[in-house]
Amino acid sequence: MAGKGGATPATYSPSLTTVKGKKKPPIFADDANWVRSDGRHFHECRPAFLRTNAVNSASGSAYAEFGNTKVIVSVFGPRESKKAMMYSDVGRLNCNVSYTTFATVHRNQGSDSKELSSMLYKALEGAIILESFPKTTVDVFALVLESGGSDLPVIISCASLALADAGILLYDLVAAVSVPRLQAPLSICLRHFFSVAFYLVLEEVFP
Amino acid sequence: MAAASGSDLSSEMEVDAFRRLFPLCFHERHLLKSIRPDGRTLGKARDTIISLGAVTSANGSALTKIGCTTMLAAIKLEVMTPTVESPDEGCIAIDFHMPPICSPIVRPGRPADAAPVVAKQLSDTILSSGMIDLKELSLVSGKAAWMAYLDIYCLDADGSLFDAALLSAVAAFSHLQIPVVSLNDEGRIVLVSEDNGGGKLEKEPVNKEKRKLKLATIPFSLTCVLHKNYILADPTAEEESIMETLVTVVLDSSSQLVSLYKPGGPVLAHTSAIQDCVALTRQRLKELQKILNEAISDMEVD
Repeated sequence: MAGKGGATPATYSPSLTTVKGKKKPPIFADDANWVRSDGRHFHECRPAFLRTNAVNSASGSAYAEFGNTKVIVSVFGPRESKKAMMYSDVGRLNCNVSYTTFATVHRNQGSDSKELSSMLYKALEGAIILESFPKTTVDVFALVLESGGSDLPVIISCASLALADAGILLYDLVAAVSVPRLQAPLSICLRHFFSVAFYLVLEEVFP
Repeated sequence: MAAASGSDLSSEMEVDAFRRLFPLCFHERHLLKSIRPDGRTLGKARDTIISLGAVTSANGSALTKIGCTTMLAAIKLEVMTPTVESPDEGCIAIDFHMPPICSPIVRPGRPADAAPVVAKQLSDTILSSGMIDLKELSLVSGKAAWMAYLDIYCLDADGSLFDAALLSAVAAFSHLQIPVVSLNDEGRIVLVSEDNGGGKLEKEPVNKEKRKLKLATIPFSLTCVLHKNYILADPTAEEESIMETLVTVVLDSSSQLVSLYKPGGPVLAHTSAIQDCVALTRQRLKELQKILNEAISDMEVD
């Protein structure tokens, strides 16, 4: 890309993390009473802000803000499936997750995330009563405005709210949380268990 | 014929059904009484809200709402090498996106027709209005300059997309703060962090403190839709789809014409109609200046 006349010139972000040779200080400590960088303990979640009816043009929508992670989800449908699709006597669910270019600290290309889209599909498909809208499709579109960590759980929670706002029949709302496991043994206690359906993301984290 | 059958059935069916089946007749009934379905008069724009600093990870950002149309603009600054022809100038890259959340007509694989049109219009208007002096984006002459990536996302599309997008772009530029940077030993520009600001610096910082851009003149716009002899200011998506003739006028802070855009349409406009559109834009300019100045002074108080 660099060196091509007329094309977008190569640019770099002046932030200190792009400078080579600087090591990031470790954020994990061995102390069992260690407190995270924003003052939370192990089992505390960030305070949540959730609102439905964020987007007027959609059948249903929701906006979620968990700390610095901001997500908008719109639900369209049930609407006509694409003509190429075969007849189906249960409804179809179509999910798509994309990021804005300014969502991450360094500017990214802002493309769709196929991995998150399929994980969102897996999380929601069990909760929706697909038999209630045969032959049609429900589209769930998510846009991550700012990514402050733990994006997928926020997207899933926001998407269930948007589905409820759209009036799609659901067995239950889906709540999600992401639990990274450090090498030291930890006991995690999920205190706020407000629904039967939940989606747990377990990750191994190596400091 | 549609109008006649419309009026026959209007007494028998519900308002919502009539609105979907005979949209033109529905709107014309309102226009005869000089009013629109949402209660506005013909020349009035919808309620406008500007909120600065919506995105914390960007150097400048703004969220604007005109009625239900919502736009989020964010500017991220990166360092580039300036061209040989203009070693003292930075660059602005403007991009307009319509993600699938904003409207039922946009699908993930199929971008909206309006998106590249509005993107090009925005780019032309902002660069030719003289709002930004590219020399202010220079860092080290010939070696480094700022590249401002302006990305505008439409979060809710309900008509007048260009107006809302231009307003959000302008608001984001007025919120933009250029960070303090210095040139390190390897010839790269790095941010000066607050930690070692008091201690030794590798080199003299290129700019002493966070500064804002000086905006010479600010362009504001108004889109009107023409139908028979009526001129409707700030159309909603429904009005735009029924009455397809749009006229967009962009004026700068001193009411001089920056751009006039009328891309065809079934209605051919006389000069008087265009002059009326410009007059409506002049009124709207005053409203928008007031709203933008209030938003900026609210930010400064915080």
